[in-house]
Amino acid sequence: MGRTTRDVAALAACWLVAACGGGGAGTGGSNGSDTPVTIGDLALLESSPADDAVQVAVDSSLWLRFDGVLVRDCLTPENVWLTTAAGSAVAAATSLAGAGREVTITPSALAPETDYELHLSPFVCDTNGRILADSRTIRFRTLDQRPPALSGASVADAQTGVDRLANFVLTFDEALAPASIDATTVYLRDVFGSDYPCALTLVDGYRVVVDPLADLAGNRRYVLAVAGGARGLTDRAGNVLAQGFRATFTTAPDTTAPLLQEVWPPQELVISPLARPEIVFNESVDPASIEPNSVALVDDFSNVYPLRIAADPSKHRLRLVPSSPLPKGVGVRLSVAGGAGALTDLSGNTLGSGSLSRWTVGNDDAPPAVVQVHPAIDAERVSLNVRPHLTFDEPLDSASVHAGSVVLRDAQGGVVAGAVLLTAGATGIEVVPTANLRRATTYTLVVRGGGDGVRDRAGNTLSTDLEFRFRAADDATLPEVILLPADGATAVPTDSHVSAVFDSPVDASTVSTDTLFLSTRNGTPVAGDVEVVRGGRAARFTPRSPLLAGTWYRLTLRGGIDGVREISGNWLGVDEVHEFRTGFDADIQAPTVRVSLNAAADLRKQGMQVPASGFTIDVYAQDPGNYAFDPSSFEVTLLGLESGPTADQIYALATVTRDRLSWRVPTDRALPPGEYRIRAAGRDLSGNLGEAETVSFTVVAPRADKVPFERTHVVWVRTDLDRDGNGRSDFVDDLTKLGFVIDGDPRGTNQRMIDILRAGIVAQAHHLFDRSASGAAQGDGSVAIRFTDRRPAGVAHMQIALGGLDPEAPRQRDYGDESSGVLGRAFFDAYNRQTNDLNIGTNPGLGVFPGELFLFQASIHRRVYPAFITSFARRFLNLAPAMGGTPVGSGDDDAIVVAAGFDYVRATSEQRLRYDAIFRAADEWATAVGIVLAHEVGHSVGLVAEGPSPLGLYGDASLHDEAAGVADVMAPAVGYDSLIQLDYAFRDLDLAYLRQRLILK
Amino acid sequence: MLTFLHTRVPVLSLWVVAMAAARPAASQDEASALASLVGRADVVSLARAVRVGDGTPGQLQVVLRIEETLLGTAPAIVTLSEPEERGCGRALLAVATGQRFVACLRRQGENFALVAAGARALPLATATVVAHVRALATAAAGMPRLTVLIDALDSDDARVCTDAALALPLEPTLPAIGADQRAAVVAALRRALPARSRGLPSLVVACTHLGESAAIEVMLPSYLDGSSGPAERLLATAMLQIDQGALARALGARIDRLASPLERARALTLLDAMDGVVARAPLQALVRAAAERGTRVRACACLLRNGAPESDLAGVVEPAVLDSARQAAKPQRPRFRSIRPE
Repeated sequence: MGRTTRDVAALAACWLVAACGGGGAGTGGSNGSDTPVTIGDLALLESSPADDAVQVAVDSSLWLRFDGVLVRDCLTPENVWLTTAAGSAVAAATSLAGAGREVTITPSALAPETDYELHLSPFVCDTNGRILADSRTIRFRTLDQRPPALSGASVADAQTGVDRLANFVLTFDEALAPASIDATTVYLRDVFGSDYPCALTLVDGYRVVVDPLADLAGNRRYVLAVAGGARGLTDRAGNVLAQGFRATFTTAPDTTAPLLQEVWPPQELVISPLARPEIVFNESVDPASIEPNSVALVDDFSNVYPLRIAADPSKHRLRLVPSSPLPKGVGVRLSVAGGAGALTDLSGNTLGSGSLSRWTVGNDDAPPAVVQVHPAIDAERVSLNVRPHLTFDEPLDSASVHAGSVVLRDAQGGVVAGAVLLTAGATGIEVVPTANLRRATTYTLVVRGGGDGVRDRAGNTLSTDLEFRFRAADDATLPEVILLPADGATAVPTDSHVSAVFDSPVDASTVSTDTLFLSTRNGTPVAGDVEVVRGGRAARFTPRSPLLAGTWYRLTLRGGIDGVREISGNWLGVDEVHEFRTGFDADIQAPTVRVSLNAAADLRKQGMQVPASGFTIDVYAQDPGNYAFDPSSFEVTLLGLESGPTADQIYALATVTRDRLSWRVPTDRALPPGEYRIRAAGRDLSGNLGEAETVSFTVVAPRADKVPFERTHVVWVRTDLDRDGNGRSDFVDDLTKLGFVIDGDPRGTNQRMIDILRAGIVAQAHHLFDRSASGAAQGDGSVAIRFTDRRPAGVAHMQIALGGLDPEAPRQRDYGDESSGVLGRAFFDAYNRQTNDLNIGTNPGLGVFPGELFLFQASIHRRVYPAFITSFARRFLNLAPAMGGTPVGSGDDDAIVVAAGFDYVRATSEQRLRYDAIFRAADEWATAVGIVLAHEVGHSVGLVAEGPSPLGLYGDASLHDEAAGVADVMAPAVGYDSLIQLDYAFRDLDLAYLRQRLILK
Repeated sequence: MLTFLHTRVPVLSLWVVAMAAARPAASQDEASALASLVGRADVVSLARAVRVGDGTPGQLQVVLRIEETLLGTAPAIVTLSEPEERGCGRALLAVATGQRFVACLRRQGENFALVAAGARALPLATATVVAHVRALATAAAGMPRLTVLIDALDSDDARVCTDAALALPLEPTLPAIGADQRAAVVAALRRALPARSRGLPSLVVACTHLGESAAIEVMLPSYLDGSSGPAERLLATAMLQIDQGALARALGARIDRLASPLERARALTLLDAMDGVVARAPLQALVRAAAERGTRVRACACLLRNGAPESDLAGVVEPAVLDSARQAAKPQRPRFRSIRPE
């Protein structure tokens, strides 16, 4: 069973007694073992029903299985709750089973045919104190034997005057099974019973949009039908539409004549004997209306060539297919008649104006042929940013190259979104995907043949579809490169070489003077040698002679399929080209190089104890004279291992920027316990060597009682306390003084402001511990602390009061009274041995005291106003009643401005001003108080242990950062301007300790 | 062996100081800049610790022998005590027998107490600190005290220098200082900026209160090249408050020399926050100077918001940039650091 709140209080009380006696060892909550520490969270292994299940019996219990024994007390309605999909709460009882690893949730009643959501909060916990850490939601639908029904249609039976160009929307009373929607279940037919092809789209699960591919005829009857019964539409549970739908409607009259927009091939062109001319209209036309005289192909000798008419699905484009090849060498004319006897649109309106086109039939009846394919057929390791392209042996007809005739498909046959371009004088086709391709996936580039496919300018088409397969690289990241000298650099030393550092190893066979080269700006090549170094992470081009003084050079690193590629196959999207100008001298000044662990400043970098892996080795370089440090030259040597990683092996795994190398020692390279030294060096582009002072450190096996976290540590931020006994929470007392809430709540804005401020304070604290605003972890740099503003039932947790005045100072103080100057007070808990610190007492007065910040800032304002307006006053003169402000809830538009969903863009300027005034003040207040909260919680997880590492974290006698920086969270004192304007962060060793990358003795 | 496990720690007192005229109540933990300590003290003295410890259980006692009184009247011996657990708010833990301190004391009935709590409440009596405190003790409020503080800004002693900076923004008569003293404040800012000293925010605020446009030339390079680090927002806010016209001119003179898109983006942040037409010329220069589309769009959007006619931009940027700028020029909901009121 988990530790209860009462247990926590008892422990805290013991503490105080021990402390007053001169300090003592902690009890409870500590591990004390030599077990290496890892942070683990609770995992949900299985659920019944599964997520997205349907046909769940209404008398079902819900069942969850976890990888730990749950604490019964955590199964509260705040942690495990059931709602309908619409958000209505559903009463349910929870119980433990399966030796505590399983939870059964028995709803009071589940309604049939209803979507439900089972919610789990991050604070569901097990008896080892592990929490789920992230929210989970399981969605299911109960037994549904009721057939779906159509609840609305955009067209009614017997309706007349229907827009013949519009689509139709069918709305159902529940979500449908997408697979049940096809042309057999939803269809449009004309009065003769012929199907009218339509595109069918399911929107929001329960609306079907029916979009006819061709225009409907005017003043014509159609039938829109939805099939019911055994072969009809179904809902997600498989129930078929009980009652079909059928609407017979009549379209509005259409008296507008169609227009001929385009004839292909263009006039006077020499065409293929196999050419199939096309005519394009501004609306759908009726192919059946074409008579021999309305569209005719005749040669110079008046021979008429019979034509077969093929229409595209929209019937805007008609293709005219001669029954036999046209004779070579003759002239042919296509006449499209206008007026009487002409073809008509689907409504029967006659084409008003025709056209006459003339071509010569040439000898070219050969289809275009592909002469080059990129990537090559069946190529492997193709970069994810590939733009596949084909080269043909002749120019193509631009009208035939489009997304319908050239398609890139993934392994499942899905079409990859992108643009299709005609390139290289119309002989090339390039496909430009909208997004990078998926790793390790086979793709097929399809070029369609036949009449709908690609053709040359004479009209010769491919006889069949062409398909070209390739496989994408198994690497989700594209290469990034640091190329030096930098683009635009000047005064580059004449003895410089060129350096290119990649974020992962490159394929050495792709690096040569064809892919990395230097020339003068006017194109004269510079002779030089190229080498791949540093385990493939870097390439260098070294000129054979010094560069000319005062000269502009152009440096090129080839990208694309023929450029430098990573071992995975990925390549740079485009060429990287830098231009730089040399100075007049060689460089003789060495760079400065420094090395550290866990990014610690020089003052704190020696003598650290670190775990076997997970900590960072960081090397920094500066070349102040000309900013020409060569990041390919970082050398890190680990001394103390007989067969440790080489400098190149470290380099290959490190993150390298222009002036820094950082290697996070990976688990599979864990160092055995022992004493180590790091040596580091680096050179500038001229080869001058800089060496760092050696750093010593010790690797130890971490003990659970020497690191702060074994699992995610929960902190309950108590904004509910009323420690001054005035009948209202201290947190709300503060907000009232500041003008964020108002007595009587005349416009109903108080609770929203309370929620916003509370969430903002917690978000800022989370941010400082490298977590998202909601508390979710953001990677392996996140500290294992999660704040909550409600009681985390069943899980051991820290509590900290937030709100009001310092309990050790006089209680009844208000605007104009003195502040105690103390913003917060918390227990110091070395190594975070206790998981349940109670920072809520009044003697000593513990917690965060925003009220003191208000009093202090108010007193400064009173002292300097009106000579100056302080940062605090600039915000709160608008709001705080005692400062003459208008509190939130008393402004005319406050209910509008404060409401969720306030439309800032469309608001009046007065509303925007009020919004800005309220929320800029709220943001600054939340930021300031959030930093104080993080500071106090920092103390209660072991910051800042006194003395130098490894005994301490360079804390001073008061357990704050010794010689604190201007924006250190654990500085001994702060100012309001600093809090709201500076980017606060935990100092290097404090953060390393919180991340467990440093072990204290 | 660690002896401080599970002690309680009062934490985080305010830096800045106020209310020289006010007398804090006995229980208050006031801020601890030297000017504040002196200003609130009944007695300012130089004292030596002659005994540490041996107090009542749970209390740490320090006996001070008063060697010289700089202000007020004090007995020869003063005994101070406080709860013995460590942490901020505690002043006596680091005291060792024989050390000499500046003791700023307040009467509590028959006894004396330190004016403030915390380790900074009992500063070591180095020669520089003593000289500064002596000057503060004899200086009258207003310009005389300001003179002492400004003189102390270039002290070699970090405590003296930082505390003088902390006290400056709390002096209502600050705007009355002369040109030389203004230059001294700006010089202190110039020194504090690369060092990121803890007096930096107060010096920036002081320059803001002074409306000292010379400070813009100090802050702007550091802001633009990113070397201001965590103080970037602080500098931007201050420069915008000091003199937007001067800032616009300073930016305009630098636009063509901004070396990277990041620097241009920072310049744009300042220009975007300016009122009215002062930003127009540098914005137009930025539109011409920037190669990157994002900066051009943002700069054009700023110009449109500032009332520049679209026709002025049509010939300068391509239509697609102008289209995007038109969208970006519409009022945008502000983004906040901590709260999410959406």
